[in-house]
Amino acid sequence: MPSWVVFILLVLPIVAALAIFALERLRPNFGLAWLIAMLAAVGGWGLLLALGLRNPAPLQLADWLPIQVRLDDRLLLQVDPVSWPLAFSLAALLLAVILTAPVRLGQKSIPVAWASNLFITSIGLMGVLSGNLVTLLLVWSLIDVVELIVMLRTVQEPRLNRQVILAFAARVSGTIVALAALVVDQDAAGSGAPNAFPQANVLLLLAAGLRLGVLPLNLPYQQEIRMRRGVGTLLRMVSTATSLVLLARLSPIEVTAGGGALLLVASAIAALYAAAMWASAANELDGRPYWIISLAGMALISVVNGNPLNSLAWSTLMILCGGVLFLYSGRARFSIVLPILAAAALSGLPFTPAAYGWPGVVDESFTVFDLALVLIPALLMFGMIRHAMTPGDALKDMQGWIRVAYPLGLFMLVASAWLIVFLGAGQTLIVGPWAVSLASSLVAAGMLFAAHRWRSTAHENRRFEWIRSLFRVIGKWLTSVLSLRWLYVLFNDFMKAVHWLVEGFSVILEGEGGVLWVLVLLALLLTLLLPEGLR
Amino acid sequence: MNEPAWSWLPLTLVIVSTLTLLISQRWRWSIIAFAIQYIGMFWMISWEWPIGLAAVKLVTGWMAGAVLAISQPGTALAETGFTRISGGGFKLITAALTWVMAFAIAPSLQTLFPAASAYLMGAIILIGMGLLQLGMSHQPLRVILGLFTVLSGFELLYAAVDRSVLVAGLISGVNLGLALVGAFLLVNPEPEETL
Amino acid sequence: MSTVTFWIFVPFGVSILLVLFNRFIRITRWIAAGVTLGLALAAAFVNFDELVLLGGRAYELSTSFSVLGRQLVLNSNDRFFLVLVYGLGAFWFLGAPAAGTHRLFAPLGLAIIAILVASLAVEPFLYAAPLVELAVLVSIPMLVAPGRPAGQGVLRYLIFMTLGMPFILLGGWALNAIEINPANDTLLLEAMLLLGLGLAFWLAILPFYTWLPLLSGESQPYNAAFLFSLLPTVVFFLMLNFLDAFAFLRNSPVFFQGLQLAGTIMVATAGIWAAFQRDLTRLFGYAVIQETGFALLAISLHSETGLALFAAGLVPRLIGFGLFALSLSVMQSRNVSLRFEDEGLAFWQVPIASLASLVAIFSISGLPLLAGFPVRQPLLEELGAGSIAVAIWALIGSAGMMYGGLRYLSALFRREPTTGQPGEGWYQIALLSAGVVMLFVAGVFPTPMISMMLNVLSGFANLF
Repeated sequence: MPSWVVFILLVLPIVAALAIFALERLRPNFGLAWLIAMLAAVGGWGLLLALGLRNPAPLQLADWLPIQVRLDDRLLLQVDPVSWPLAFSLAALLLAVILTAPVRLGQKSIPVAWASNLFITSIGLMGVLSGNLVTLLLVWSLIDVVELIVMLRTVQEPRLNRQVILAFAARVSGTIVALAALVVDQDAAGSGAPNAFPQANVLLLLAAGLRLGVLPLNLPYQQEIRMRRGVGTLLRMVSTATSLVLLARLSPIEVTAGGGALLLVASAIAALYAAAMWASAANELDGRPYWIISLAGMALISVVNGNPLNSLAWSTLMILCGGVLFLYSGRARFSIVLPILAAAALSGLPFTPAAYGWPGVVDESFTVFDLALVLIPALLMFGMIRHAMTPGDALKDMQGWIRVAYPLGLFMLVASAWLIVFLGAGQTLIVGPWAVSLASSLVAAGMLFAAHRWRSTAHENRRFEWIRSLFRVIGKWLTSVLSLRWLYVLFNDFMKAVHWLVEGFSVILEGEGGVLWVLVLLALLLTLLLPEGLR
Repeated sequence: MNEPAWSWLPLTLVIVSTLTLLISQRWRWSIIAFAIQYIGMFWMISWEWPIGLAAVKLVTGWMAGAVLAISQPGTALAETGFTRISGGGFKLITAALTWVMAFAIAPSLQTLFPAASAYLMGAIILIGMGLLQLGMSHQPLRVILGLFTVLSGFELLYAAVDRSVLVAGLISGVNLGLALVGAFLLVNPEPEETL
Repeated sequence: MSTVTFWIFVPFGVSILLVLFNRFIRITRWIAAGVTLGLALAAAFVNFDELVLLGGRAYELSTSFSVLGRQLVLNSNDRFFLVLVYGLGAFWFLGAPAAGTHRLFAPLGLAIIAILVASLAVEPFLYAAPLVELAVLVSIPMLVAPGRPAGQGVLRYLIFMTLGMPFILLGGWALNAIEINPANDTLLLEAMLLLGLGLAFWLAILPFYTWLPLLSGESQPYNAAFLFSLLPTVVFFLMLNFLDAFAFLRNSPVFFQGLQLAGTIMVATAGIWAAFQRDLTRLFGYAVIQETGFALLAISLHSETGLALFAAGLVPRLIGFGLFALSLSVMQSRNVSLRFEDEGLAFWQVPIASLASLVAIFSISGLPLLAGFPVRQPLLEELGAGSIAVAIWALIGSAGMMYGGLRYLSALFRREPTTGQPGEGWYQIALLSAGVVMLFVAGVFPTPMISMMLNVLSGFANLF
């Protein structure tokens, strides 16, 4: 298939977004705007479905730089077994957001928001389809800037602004670490051809981990910022997907035994902590950052274990299953089936989408460490069902066509998860380590049962109020330790010390007598650096 | 290299004038010292260059001094944060260190600059004292005088190796330009009088 | 008629006229912009050493001019350099109305450009040193606001730039002496030392860069930035001239190691210092230092790629400095404080200028998507191929600059939002927006910009 198909895939949402903007300016029409958005979303989803069956040629802009350089300086976009699952997931998410948008009309789901969704998805597709690190870095910056602008326009409080900027800073830090990976990679010198993705895998892993908020665990948003469901969900998922694609492209990591263990433990702690916070969050939107970190942690663990392709399972389920819940604002008795299906997809039971993900995190020998890993999906599933059962907008009060479109949108997400398994070249329908996945599912079921019992016997539980208080205290302490805020406070103190040094030097060199100090420094430098004959 | 006759005299002139420039708080004394400095410099350069060419340096220096003088520096040399005695004493000590350094390294420079020992000492003293002047003050007039002093030293060194008329002319142009800049810096803060 | 007349004496003569009529600020600015733009275009399209048709008559355009037995030469090899320098001038003069520069900026700026072009045209180029010093002296009235005393920054600028002149003179003499006596290794080292010190003074290499943040804090930012972009560019070309002319210098590993060490220290220290600045003007000063450091690092690679990266870096630097300086000037002209603690107000008063300066900082730090990245990243990789430590330090410097930008970003949104009209005028908005767009476009599509700049190296026959 020709490469211009990839171009169409990217341009279609942008054209639709521009059309909607123009329509809003000239002749506002809700229905027409929604139709344009839906057609673009369906077109993109359908096109990607076709591309899953037959990958097109890569789209590349050769010689981005007109000089001979060591890095792979092409702008390269390609649909391949690594990028297709994530791209398809994003397309499915966009389709779901548009189809479910009418349910949220009371929450300012407006054409401009739909156009923004289309635009954001196009950027996300560019990111996941990036065929080399240079292209990916450009898209990372673009998505960071877009997210920054959107978030700053949304929040009005200085305190929340600071959190937005901290999040931006964390992502930029990840970009810097990725730049270091490009610098450190020296294999190009030997092979003669630059690598699309450098071999400095640990650095790239750290870069992705920083951007995802897993390595080290960082949660700039102490509270989730209230945004429109659609835009907020897409923005979060797109940003995360562009980092997850990098994980899947890494070749098996070579680290020392100690280094590998450290990375595994750090990722597992982050994933477990986030899963617990997700399960105990007030609602699905408050828990969204934890959902992302937890599944990103699972993807990271796969990569550290030397199974980067298995990480795709967790990545796609993060987007698709998460999308089901985050868009699940309208509730009806029958619609609970959809979150249950999503939870089932996440369970990892034989022939479910997550079954392919489990071999990446556990192997034949089952250790205590693996016990912790069993808890993570269990907590995630528990949280999904728990949040799905909280009251929402009543679907029965809405128009007929909305009552069809809305569940259809959510169903597309679940169906896409299974389509990826069937059609994706890298993923197959497998049994997987069924014992582990069964244990995880049973734990989740057990937790659900316990929670239900606890709620239904609330009036008797006052005798056990002290247990609740104890758990609360332990939880707070664990949160304070595992959230690593103490680490960031230490880092801040270190920076203050460096600042004090820098300030001291500046005062000396720029103050009175600074010229003499400069000459003294010069004499010192010359003494140290000059060859013997000239001293 | 043979020491020229009376070589100690221009060297003394240079030492005294540069010391005066460093310590003096009165602009008139400084301008006079500046002029004497250029006499010493001219004397030394005349050992390497023809008198006519060396005279260019003297004339340039005096013209520069005149330009600075007519800018009415006023209290432009007054220092703050330094008492007269401790400030002067400190400067004297550092000046003495500079003289010692000049005395120590002048002979070793003769491999690069084929000139008399006194000549090279004069050049190093001018450079060293000029740098001290630059390092110890942030008043515009002192800075300009300090720059002139340093440049004088370098001109001496350069004169020992090259006799280009064009370079001499360009450097003189630079010196006059520096004097004009000095005048500008002195006059600029004054409010413009209406005619 | 000669090229020297057109590209040196004419602009210098015009500058004198402009000084005489400096009270008519608007007219002098536009005349200066017009002259520089015209000269840049003429250099781009007119063939030197050929007949030129003017008003129906043909004139021979000679490429040299004799002055007191020495030559000023501007031949075909210098065409792209003239395009660069006069284009640079036009860039700054066109922005002057928006920046609100004082009445001496345009006249003196034009004179400075003419003198600096002369410094590169003079042969032997040993005589460039006094001419550069003359340019520095001419720049002083531009930096000191009328009616105000000179600050520490201006005085130190004058001191260090003046001190550079004798070292370059002596270094040039020593280089000539080596040609007579090439076996003298000590003389070679001494020549490199003298030349190196002279260039260190002129390029504000550590430890001589203390005047940069001081000067950027005291002077009108736009005036200072004009010098920050013009002077180092000319000095770098002077350095390349030295390398092109003297084979022993070109083949000396010590020289390039020295450049690399100096560049690394500049980049790293400037970045670390920038990370903790609380004043935008000082941050700007450190950005200039860092850019100079990266230019040194590019040349220190001692390869065709390194020189290409040096040339390619000239345009992002120019646009970044221009945008930053214009933003600062606009903010200053609106009496907006440039200290971080006051920036929360600044964003709501001059939003476009605030954001433009932020974009400029990130471009200078090499953030992907902006103009600095396509040049910065290959440079880091080339450095890494030779020495990982150098590359990592350079990356730390970039990260420090980015951190400074992030702190500024945080300062911008520190306060509750207020409503009101943007404080910038339409011309300011147009220029600021154009600058931001150019940085993004050059960051995503760098090929046209880089291809154009590679031409400036065509005049150096021996460097490759």
